[in-house]
Amino acid sequence: MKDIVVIGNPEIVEPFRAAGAHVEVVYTEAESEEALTKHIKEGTRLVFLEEVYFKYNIKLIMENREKLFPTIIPIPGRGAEGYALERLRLLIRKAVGADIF
Amino acid sequence: MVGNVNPNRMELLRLKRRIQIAKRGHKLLKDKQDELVRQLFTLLKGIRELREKVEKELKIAQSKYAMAKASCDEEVLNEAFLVPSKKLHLEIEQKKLLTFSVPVFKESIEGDVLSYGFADTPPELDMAMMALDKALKSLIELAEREKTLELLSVEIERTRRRVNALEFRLIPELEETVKFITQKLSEMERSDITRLMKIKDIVREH
Repeated sequence: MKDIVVIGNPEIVEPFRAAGAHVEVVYTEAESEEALTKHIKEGTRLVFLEEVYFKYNIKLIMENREKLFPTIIPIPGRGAEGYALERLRLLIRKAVGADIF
Repeated sequence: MVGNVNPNRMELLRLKRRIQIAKRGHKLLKDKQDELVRQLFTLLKGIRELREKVEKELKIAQSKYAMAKASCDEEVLNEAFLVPSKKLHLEIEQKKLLTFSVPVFKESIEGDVLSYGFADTPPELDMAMMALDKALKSLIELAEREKTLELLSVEIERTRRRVNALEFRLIPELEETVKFITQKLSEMERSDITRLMKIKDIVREH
C-alpha cells in the first residue's frame, strides 16, 4: 500500500519522483482510469491526479468520494484549467444551497 | 397512509408517539445540520487562497521543469531522478467530526530534493525541484482540507435530505392520519349517541 501516488502526463508527474512520491505516468485517459482503479483497489492513501484526467474519471471518483481513502485531489496540468476550483464551488453549492465560494 | 389505517384509539396513541419521536429526531438532525454548516464555513476560510497558492507554485515548478527538459537530454533528466534521496511518508490519523471521520495527514520528509549531480543538469531543474518542494507541504495540507470539505458536504447533503423528509413528508403525513382518526372516532361517537337517542325514543313510544 502506497502513501502518495501522482498520476498524470510525464512532464507533470516526473518531478514528483524526485520529491519522494510514487509516480504513475499515463498518456491517455483510458490509462489514467486503469491506474486510478488500481490504486483505489490497492488502498493508496493519497492520489494526486492531473486535472484533465480528474475530469475524465469524475464518475469513478464520485463513486468513491465517501470513502476515506484514497483521497483523490486534482493537480494542475495541461487542459481543464480551473476545474479543481469549479469542483469545490459545486460541492459547496450542493451542500449549502447557495454559491458562497 | 390515511387510506390504510385502522381508526381506533390504539392506533391514535401509536401515531401520536411516532409524531413525538419524529419531531425530536427532526430537531436533533436540524441541530446537526446547523453544526455541520458552521464547520463548513470555518473550513472554507482560506481554502480558495490555499488552492490558488498551490496551483501557482506547481505551475512555476512545471514551467521550470519544461525549460529544463528543453535545455538538456531526456536521458540526463531520467538519470537525475533515478535514485531519489528524498523520502516522503504520510502518517495518517483519523479525526472524528460529529458522526463521521476525516483524515489528518502528517508528512514526514527525509533527505534532500536535489539528489543529483549538478554538472550535467541545467539550473532550471534545480529551480523546478525547489519550487515543487515548497509546494508539496501546502499540497498535502490542501488534500486534507479538500477531503474534509468533500466529506462534510456529503454529510450535509444527507442530513438535509433526512431533515426535509421528516419535515415535509413524515410529520405532515402522520399529523394528517391523526386528524383522520380523530375525526373518524368523533363521528363514531356521534353516531353512537344518535343511535342511543333513537332507541330511547322508540322505547319511550312503546
